[in-house]
Amino acid sequence: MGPRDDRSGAPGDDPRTSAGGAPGTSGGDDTRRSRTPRGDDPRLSGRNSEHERERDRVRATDVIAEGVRGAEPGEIPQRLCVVAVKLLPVVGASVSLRSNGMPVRLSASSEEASRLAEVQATLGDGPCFHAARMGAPVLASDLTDGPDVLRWPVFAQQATAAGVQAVYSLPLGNDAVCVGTLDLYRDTPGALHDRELRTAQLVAGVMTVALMALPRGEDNGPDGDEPWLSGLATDYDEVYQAIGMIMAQLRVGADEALARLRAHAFAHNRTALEVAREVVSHRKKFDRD
Amino acid sequence: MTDEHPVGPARGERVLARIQTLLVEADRLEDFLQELVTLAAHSLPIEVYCSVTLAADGRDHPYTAAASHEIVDRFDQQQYAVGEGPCLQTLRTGRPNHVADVDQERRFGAFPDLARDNGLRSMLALPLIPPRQQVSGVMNLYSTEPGGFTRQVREEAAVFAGHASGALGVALKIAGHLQFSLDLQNAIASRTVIDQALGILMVQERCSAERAFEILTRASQQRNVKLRDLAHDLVESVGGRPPRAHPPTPRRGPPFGGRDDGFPPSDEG
Repeated sequence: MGPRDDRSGAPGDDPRTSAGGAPGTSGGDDTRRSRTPRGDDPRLSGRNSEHERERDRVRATDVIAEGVRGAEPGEIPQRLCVVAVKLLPVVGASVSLRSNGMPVRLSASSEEASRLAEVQATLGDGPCFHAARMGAPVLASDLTDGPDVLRWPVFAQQATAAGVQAVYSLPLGNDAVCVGTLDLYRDTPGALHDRELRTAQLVAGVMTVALMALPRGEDNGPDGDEPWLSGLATDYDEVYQAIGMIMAQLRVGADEALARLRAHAFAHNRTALEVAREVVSHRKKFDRD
Repeated sequence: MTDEHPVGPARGERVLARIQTLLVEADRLEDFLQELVTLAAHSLPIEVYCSVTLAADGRDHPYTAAASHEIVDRFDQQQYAVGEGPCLQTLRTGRPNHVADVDQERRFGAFPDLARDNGLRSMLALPLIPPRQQVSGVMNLYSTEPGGFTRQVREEAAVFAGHASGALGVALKIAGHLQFSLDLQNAIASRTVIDQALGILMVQERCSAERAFEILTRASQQRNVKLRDLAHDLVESVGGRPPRAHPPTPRRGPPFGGRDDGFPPSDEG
């Protein structure tokens, strides 16, 4: 599967039922081997037999069940990021919520993964934006060279500087509604094979359900209900509070406020979240020109 | 739709394959049901009108979810209004009802006259019982000819309805999941606009987020306006336009370029 084949298995392939789905069946995949084959795992690309699919699914389900055992609902997104790293040829995973404006990282498997999610959010560009827009997985298999670099030049440069050479982004939600993305980071260039993509989609499906299962109150209500995502989404709150503050400081709309936040972050080589924190703590003020 | 009409098991399998295809291709429950009634209307040995009635368990309000022709949509409404007829009977009992000729029909009160007035002379109501769903339904088949539903037609229709029941179960499950995602999207959108309003108050009142939240919730209680609505108004008054309710719906198109229209860059930043 080439870097541009990101749609081959994806659209219409419901992540929730990815085990039954049939992403691209291009025979070329069979000739390509994973770079780091290790023992028992599904990374070895092989024939896409029903038997293999079933085995992959069972194994993934086992690892997921093990990974989330004993976790509070609020911990599950982070645990699932770790599970994704265990199951797939990637070194990091992050999950971001998407709203109007900037996607905000909810959890990540590691600091590095967290950082890359923030880089994409700050730039407003990268595979996760494309995945959310298309409602389909986007596989940027080589950020060191070729079409992916042309497509996301700045992100590719920042990702490779951070030691990541391939990024795979899977939409969360379903065909009609995208509520966020699961982003996977790999330290070498390489495609995600059909079997791996199915496994990734399975994890994304479980992640979607996990997000839905998080406690939520009506409208962050004042009635003592626990607000939805409480504790988990402090970053989210800070980013959008900062946008509100910039709106008030500059008398501009939300889009313009976000653009200013991003521009400032980019110009100062920081992430949008870092700048947002300074804004909400009244350390940074945007002034009208 | 215009194929020859094979008979027997081959035909049943073909119908099943068609229904499964509809299920895969339809994006929404309504689309699936619309295609289903169209298929039913044309795949039996006689031309019929078809509609699907659904009712949530424990509720008294059946509704026509899809109809192959306007005339049966309208007729179903009249049937619900008079509260009698084969469809409603089937909905209650889960058993099929066959009216061979409205002129000979003694059951169903005002229904036979109503049917005749609409030019419908015979009909068959078949239960749709999707597995593990809190919804039941009826597939209504109407013919403008008396005696249209011969034994063979009834048998084939029953096979069709059996396949349709299973497919409807899957369609409802998918629709339920869609609703779930919409709820989640709403929760995110709600939080977004409230956070933005808090930020505005933090500047206007030179205060912390906690204090801004107190101010907003108190105003919400005093004015008896939902927190989200109040936040929405505040964001609109400062931003100059209402906050967008939702991010754009994902579109499927070529992976790179070509279909980005409709997604202004401002949507993402």
